[in-house]
Amino acid sequence: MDNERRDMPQQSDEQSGDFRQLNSVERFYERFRNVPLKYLDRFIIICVAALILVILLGLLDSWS
Amino acid sequence: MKKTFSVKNFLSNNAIILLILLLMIFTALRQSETFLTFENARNLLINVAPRFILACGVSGCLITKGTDLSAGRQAGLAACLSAMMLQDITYAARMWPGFPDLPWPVILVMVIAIMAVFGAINGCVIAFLKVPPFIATLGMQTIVYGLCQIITKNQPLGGYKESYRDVAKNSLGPVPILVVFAIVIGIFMWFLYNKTRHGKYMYAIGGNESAAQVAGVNVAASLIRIYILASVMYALAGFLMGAKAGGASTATGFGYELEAIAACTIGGVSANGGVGKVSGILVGVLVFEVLKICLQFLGIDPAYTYIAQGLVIIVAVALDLRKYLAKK
Amino acid sequence: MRRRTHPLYATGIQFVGSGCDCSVFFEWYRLLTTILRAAKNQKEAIEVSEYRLEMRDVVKIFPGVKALDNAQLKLRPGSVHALMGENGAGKSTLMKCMFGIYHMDEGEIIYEGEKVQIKGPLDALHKGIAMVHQELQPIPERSIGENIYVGRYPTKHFGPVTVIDHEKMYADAAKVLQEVHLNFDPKAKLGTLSVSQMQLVEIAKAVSADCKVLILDEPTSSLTAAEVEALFAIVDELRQRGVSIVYISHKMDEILRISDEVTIMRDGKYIGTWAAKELTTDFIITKMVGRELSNLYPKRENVPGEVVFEVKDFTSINPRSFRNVSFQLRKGEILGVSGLVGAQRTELMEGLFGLRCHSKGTITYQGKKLKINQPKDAIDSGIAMLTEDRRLTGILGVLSIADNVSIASLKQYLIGGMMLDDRKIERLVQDNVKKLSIKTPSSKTQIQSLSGGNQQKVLVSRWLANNPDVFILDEPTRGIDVGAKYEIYCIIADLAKQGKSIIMISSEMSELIGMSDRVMVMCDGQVTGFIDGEKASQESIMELATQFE
Repeated sequence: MDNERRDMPQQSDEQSGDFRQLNSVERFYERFRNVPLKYLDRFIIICVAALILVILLGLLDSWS
Repeated sequence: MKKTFSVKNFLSNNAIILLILLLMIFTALRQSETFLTFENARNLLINVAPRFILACGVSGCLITKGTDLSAGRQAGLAACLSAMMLQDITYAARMWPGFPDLPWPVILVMVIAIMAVFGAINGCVIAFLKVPPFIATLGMQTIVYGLCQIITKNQPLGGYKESYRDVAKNSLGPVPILVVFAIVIGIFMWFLYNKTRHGKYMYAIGGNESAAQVAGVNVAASLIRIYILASVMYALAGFLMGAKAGGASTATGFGYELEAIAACTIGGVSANGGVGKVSGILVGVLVFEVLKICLQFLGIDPAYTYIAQGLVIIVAVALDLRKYLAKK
Repeated sequence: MRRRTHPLYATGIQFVGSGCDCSVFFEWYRLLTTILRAAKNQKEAIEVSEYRLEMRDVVKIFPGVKALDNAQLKLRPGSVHALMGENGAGKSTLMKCMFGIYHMDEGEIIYEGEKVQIKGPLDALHKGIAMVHQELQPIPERSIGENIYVGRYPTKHFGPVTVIDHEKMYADAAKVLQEVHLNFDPKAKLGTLSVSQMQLVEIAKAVSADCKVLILDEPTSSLTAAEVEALFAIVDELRQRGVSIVYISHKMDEILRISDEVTIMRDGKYIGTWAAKELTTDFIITKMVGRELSNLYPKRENVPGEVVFEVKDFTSINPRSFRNVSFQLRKGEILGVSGLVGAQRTELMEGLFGLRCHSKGTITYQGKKLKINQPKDAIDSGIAMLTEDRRLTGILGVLSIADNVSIASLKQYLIGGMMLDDRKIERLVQDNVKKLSIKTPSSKTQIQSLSGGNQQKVLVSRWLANNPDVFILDEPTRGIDVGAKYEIYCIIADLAKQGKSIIMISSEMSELIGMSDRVMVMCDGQVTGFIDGEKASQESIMELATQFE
C-alpha cells in the first residue's frame, strides 16, 4: 500500500550556513560545494596524469 | 538497497593504490635482482613500521573529524628525549652527563608518559575550550618544536647505547623488532577500534557528534583519551625512529604528520568522519613507502620523488573531497 | 482574461452553419487553409489561457525517493490557491521547484503563456515570483530594512564606486512596512522582534518584491490571532491587485476561509483540485491521508496510574526560553505537548534531558530528586529522548544499525569488562527488528540508507535497550509516510500499555488529539494549561497556545 520512503532531504545545515557544525576541513570542502563534480573529476585526472608524467621525467632524467 | 559494483566507483576509491601497484610491478620488472629481494622487503617494512604507528595515532583524531598537526614534532621531541636519556655512558658529548644508565624499556615508558601530557593538553584544549583541532594542534606543534630546541640546545644528538641501537638492528626470529612493535600496535588498535566501547564512542563522535552526545556518550572524555593515545603513539614512533637513525635532532619528524594524514586519507579515513579501518591505515602508509622505494630503485632523483609525493597527497585529498560532495 | 476561441473551432462552426451553400467549395478551401495555418501557428500561438502559471507533470527525484510524481498546479491571477497535504506530500518541494531552489527532473512550468526555466531564486524574483519560506532565514543582527532587501540592496554610484544607498533602502522599507500595516522602525535590529513579528517582516519582504505570484509556506505558524487577521487583509488586497497566491497550510479553517481553490497532494502525487466552497474538513483529510479517519490511530489500551514523574518550576538560564514549567506525569500515560513554533517545547524537553542548562527547578522521579546536567545523567535515571531532527541529533548516519542500536547501552555487552560481545549485540538487533518490524537488509547496513520510519524505529530500539521508564518523543512522526506513522503510533501505544510514561511533542493537531491521554499546552515558554484527552480539540488547544500573543 504505502511504500516505504526515505527521508525527504530537508535543506541541509551546511547550505543554510550553520557553520558551527563543521570542522575546519569540512569548511574547506564546502567552498567547493558549487563546483560541478565533473570539473573535480577532470582535476583528479590531470593530477594523476601529472604524477605519471613526473615519474617518467624522473626516469628519463636518470637515464641521461 | 542493492549494492552495485561499478568500475568507476572501484577506480575512484582505489585509484592511488592501483597506480602504486603498477609502479611496483614496473620497478620489479626493471630492477628485479635488487628489488625483489628479502633484504629489500625487510627494509621496506622497517621504514613502514614507525610511520604506521604514527599514522595510527593520527587516525583517532581524524576519525573524530579533528586533526593533529603536532604529530611530527611530538615524535621528534620523543626521539630527542630518548636520545638524551639513552646516550652511551662513555660518549664524550653526552647531553646530560649526570643521567643514570637505564635500560631502554624504562626510558621508553618515561618518554611515553611525558608525551602523553602533551596529548592530554591537546585533548583538553579541544574538548573543553572548544578550540578547533586544526588551530589547537598547530599551536602545539610550534610549542613542541620550541621545547625541543631548548632542550637539545639545537645540537644534533648521537652516540647511542648499543642496546638502543640494537632495537632497530635486531630481530625476533625472522621479524625485525621494529616490525614486531608495529604488529603489536596494529593488533591493539584493531581491537581498540572494533571491540571496545572507546572505539564505538570514537566512531559515534566522528559520525555525528551531537547525536552521540544525545545518546549519552561522554564526548570530552573520549576526545581527551584519543589525543593522549595519539601522543603515546607519537612517542613510540619517535623512539623507534631515533633507534633506526642512530641519531636525532630538532629536525626529526618534521612534516611527518602530513604524510600520516595523507596515508590515512588514502586508506579510507576521511573528513567525512566516523569511518576508517586499521587495515586501511596500513595500506595508506605502504603506498607512500612503496612509492618512495620504487622511485629510489629506478634511480630517480629524490626531487622528483618529492613532487610525486605531493601529487599523491593532492589526489588523495581531491578524491576525499569528491566523496564528501557526492555524499551530500 | 478573455479566452479566445480556437481558430479551428470557429471555422468549423462557420462551416457547419453555412449548410449546403454553393459556396461549400469555397468553405472547404477556407477550412483547409485555416487548418494548415493553425497547424503552422500552433507552436507560435500565444495561448492566452486563464492560468497565469501552470506546473505540468513535475517529477523530482532525490536519491532513493521520488519526491514529486507527476505533480500538477494551475494558478489563476487574482486568486488564492491552497496547497494541502501531509508532511512529505511534496508541497514544499513543488514550491521550491517553482521558486528555482530545486531543478525539476521532468515537467514544465508555463508562465504567462510561455514555457520558462527558472534558474534560481533571484531569477524567480525577477520574473515576479516571490516566496515566504516556512523556515525563516532571518539575519537578526542586521536591521529590518537590510533584511527586507537582502540580496537586492538599492545602490548608488560615487563615480566608479558602487555603494548601498541606505537612505533609499530605509525609505523603501518604511513604505513596504506601511503597506502591510506594520509599524516597525526599519532601522531597528531584526532580532528585537518576536518570532511572529519576524514572520510578518518576511511576508513584507515578499510583498515588496512586487510580484505576480506569491507563495506563502505556512505563514501563520507563528502568528497570533490578530496578526492572522492582518495577514488575511494583506492577502485579500493582493488578490484584488491580481496577484496569484499559493497558500500552503495545515490549518483547515484558514484554508476554507481564505482560499478560492484547493489542490491536495499525497506522496508526491497530484490528487485533485476543488473549489474551496465545495469542501469540508473531513473530505480534505480523507483525500490527504487516503484512508478513512477512524483508522488513523490505534486503539489505546493503556491505563494511566499514579504520578511517577514530576517537574516543578523548571526554568532555563535563558530568560527568553522556558520558565516556571511544572507538570506531572503518570505511569502508563501519554502526555501530548502542544504549542506554536517558538513556544519552547523542544527547549524544555532538552532541558529536562540535560542538553540545555536550567537555572532552577526540580525533577522528581518516584519521589527521588534527579540531578541532570548532561544526557548521561538523564539516561542513567531512566529517561530516554527521541529528538526532533533525527538526521541532526538522532542517527549516527554512517554507522551500522547494530552500532546505532547498541550505542547507548554498550555497558551491557562486555566480556571481561573490556571487550564487546558482538553476538550479544546482534541478538539485540534481531530482537528489535522482529519486535518493531524494522525493514532492513542486514544489521550492518548504514542507518542513513533506511527510510525515515525505520530510522525512527532503530532509535526507539536504542532507547529500549536501556529499559527507560520515561520516554520523551519530539515530533516522532515528522517526515514519515502514513503507513510507517501508524506503526510508530502502535509502538507508542504499546509502550504506554507496558507502563512507560510518554511525553510527546507534536505540531500535528490530529496526532495530539488522537494519541494523548492529556495535552499540555505551552505558549512563549510557559505552560498555559492542561486539557484532558476527551475534551481536547483544535479550538481548545489553540486558545491556550495563543494565550500570550
